[in-house]
Amino acid sequence: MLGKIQKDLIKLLAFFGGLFLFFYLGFFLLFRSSSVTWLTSEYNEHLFSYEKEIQLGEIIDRYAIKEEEIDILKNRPIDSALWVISSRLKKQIPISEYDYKIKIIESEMINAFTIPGGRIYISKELILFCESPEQLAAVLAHEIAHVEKRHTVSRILKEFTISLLFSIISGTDTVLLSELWKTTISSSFNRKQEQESDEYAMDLLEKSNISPRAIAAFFRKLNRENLDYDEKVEFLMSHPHNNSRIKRSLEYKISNGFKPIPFDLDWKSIKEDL
Amino acid sequence: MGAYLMMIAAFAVGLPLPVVNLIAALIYYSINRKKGRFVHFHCLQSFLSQIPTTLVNWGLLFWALQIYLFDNYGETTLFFAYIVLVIVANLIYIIFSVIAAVKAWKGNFYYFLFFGPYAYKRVYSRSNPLQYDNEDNKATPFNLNKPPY
Repeated sequence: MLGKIQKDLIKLLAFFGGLFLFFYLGFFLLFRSSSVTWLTSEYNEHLFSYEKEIQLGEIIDRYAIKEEEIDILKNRPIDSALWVISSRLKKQIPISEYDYKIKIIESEMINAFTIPGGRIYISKELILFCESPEQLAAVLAHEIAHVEKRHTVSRILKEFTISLLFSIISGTDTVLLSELWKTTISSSFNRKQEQESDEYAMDLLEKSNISPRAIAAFFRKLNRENLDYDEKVEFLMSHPHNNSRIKRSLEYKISNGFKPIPFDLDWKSIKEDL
Repeated sequence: MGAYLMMIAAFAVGLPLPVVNLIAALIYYSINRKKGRFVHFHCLQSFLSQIPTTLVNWGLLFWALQIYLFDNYGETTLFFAYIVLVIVANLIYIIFSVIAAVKAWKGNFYYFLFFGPYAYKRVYSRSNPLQYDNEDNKATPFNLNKPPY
C-alpha cells in the first residue's frame, strides 16, 4: 500500500509540475513577441504614457503651490546659475521626453525631490549646503536620473495599486491629489533605484565634463557635518548609506580623456544673494 | 464534514496571510480526532491536504512581497505561471474539499489522491495507538470501507 501512496504522490507532483510548466511555456510563447515585460519599468512606461505623466506633474505642481502652500523662491542669480548647470547636463541626455522644470523651494530641510513629468524641486537649504556648483550639479544629475528612469511613475503606480486594493482613496479629487503629493515627497525610492540613479548620474556628470567625484564630495560634507538621517536630510532617508555612495563615486572609472570644465559662476556671491 | 467546511471558511479569512487556515486545521484536528476513526480520518485528510496548498500560497505571498518591497521581479513569465498554478491549486482544493465534505456528511469515505490512502493508513492501522471515544479498546473495526486498492 505504501507503494501506492508513493505513486499517488508522484502523480500529484507530476500533475502540478506539468501544469506549471504548461502555463510557463504558454505565457512565454504568448509574450515572446511583445517587447514589454509585465510589471517592470518598461511595462509602467507602456501603461503610463509620457503625455499623461507630464499632465499629472502639472496637476500635482499646481496643487502643491495652491493647497500645500509651498513657496517657490524667485531669485535671479540662482535661477540663472541653475539654468547654466541644468542646461549643461540636459545637453548630454540622449533623447529626453521631458521639458525639465527645476524650482527652488523655501525649506529648512536639505532636500531635493522629483514629481512626475520632469519637475524637480530643490530646497534653498540644499543650495546653501553645496560647496560648489559641481555638487549641486551632482544632486541635479541624480534627480534627473530618477526622472529619466521613470522611478516616480513606478512609485506612484505601485503605491496606488496597493491603495486602491485597500480602498484608501475615498474618491474626491483633493484627497487623491493630497495622497499623490504625499506619496511623491514622502515615500522613497528603493535601494536598487537609488543605485541605478547614482550610476546614471555619474555617467551624466562625466559626459557633461563635471567630475563624478562631486557626489563623493557632497556626501563627505554631509558626513562631516554629522547630519543624521533623521535630522535634516530628509531626501537621503532610504538612500544607500552615505559611505557606500562615497565609495562608489570614488571607485567610478573616469575615462582617460576626461577634462573637467569648471562652471563660470561666482558661487559664493550667489549663495549670499539667496 | 465540519473539518472541510471550516477549512474553507478559515481559508477565506486567511487569504491575505495564509496561515490562519493551517492553525485552524490543526486546532480542529486535535480537538476532534478522538471522536472516532471516521472523524479522525476526515480531519487528518483535510489537515494534510491543507499543508501543500498553504505552502504554495505562502510562496505567492513571498514572491509578491519581493516585488512590492524590493522590486525584485525575477522572471515575470515565471511569476504569472505561478499565479495561475496557485489559482488552479486552490480551486482544485476547494472543489475536492466540498465533495469530501458532502461525502463525510452522508457518512461515506472519500479519498483524495495521496492524502486519502495516507490518512486511512494512519488512522485504520493496528499500530494507531489512539483511544477513540466511540470504541472499546479491544475490538478494532476492520470491516469498514477500505480505500480503493
